[in-house]
Amino acid sequence: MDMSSWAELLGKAFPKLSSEDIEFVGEPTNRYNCIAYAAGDTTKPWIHYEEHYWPPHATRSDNIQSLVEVFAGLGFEQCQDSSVEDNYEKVALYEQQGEWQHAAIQTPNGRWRSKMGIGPVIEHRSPESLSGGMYGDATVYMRRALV
Amino acid sequence: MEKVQQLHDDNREARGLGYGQYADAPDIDPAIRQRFTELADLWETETVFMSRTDLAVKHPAHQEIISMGEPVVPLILERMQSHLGYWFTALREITGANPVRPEDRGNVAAMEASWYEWGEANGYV
Repeated sequence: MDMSSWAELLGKAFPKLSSEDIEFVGEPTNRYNCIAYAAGDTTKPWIHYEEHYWPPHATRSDNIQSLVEVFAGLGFEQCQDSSVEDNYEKVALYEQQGEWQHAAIQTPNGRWRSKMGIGPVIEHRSPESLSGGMYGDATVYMRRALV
Repeated sequence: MEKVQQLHDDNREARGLGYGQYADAPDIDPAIRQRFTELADLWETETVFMSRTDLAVKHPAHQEIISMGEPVVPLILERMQSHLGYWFTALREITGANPVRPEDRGNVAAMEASWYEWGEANGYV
């Protein structure tokens, strides 16, 4: 599937994501997912389910709190919003009805990157770009000091 | 070589499969192949952006594939070579097997390789 087809699929799934807002930065693959990508791991998907990897410091659950534990264990702390803060990197955690759905990570230029399921990695303007679709909304923001 | 073939045949008998039910290159009923392809395409299209496999496997198309049973195992193994979907739940539920070694859990490439080798050893590939 070419990138224009991916853009079309993404536009249907995420109504706030315009094609001008999408920059493709990584190939489609099932070797890792959004949580792994935001955590800096492109060797395996991080999913609480069955035989997939889930960090041992976090509760193996679909609850959003479980995802908060994942990133807390990586040195992130909860913060107010998605604004750019000097010397910090941020993640946005998405939930729907209390269940985690997705994570995106902020880039130094203030844009955000998301691994889209088994699809490509995209860069988008803000966490809100992916709100209102299958990921629900970004309700938790966490930050970690850059070293 | 004969011993390998004998083991292969023993496996087939253990699974209750008669000779010719699955040849080494399995013969698939075209109607089953067509229905499987429709369902797999639908499943992958509608779940491609999902981050969670536990939600993806609940999709009706995936559930119908599981209900089709053992005849679709060669098709799943074939598809796993060329598409990105996670088929581990379907394979486990249909076959009752789990050839993934504990140390390979979570490593998608190793898990896929384990299932493919299992498929070869059991006459599905």
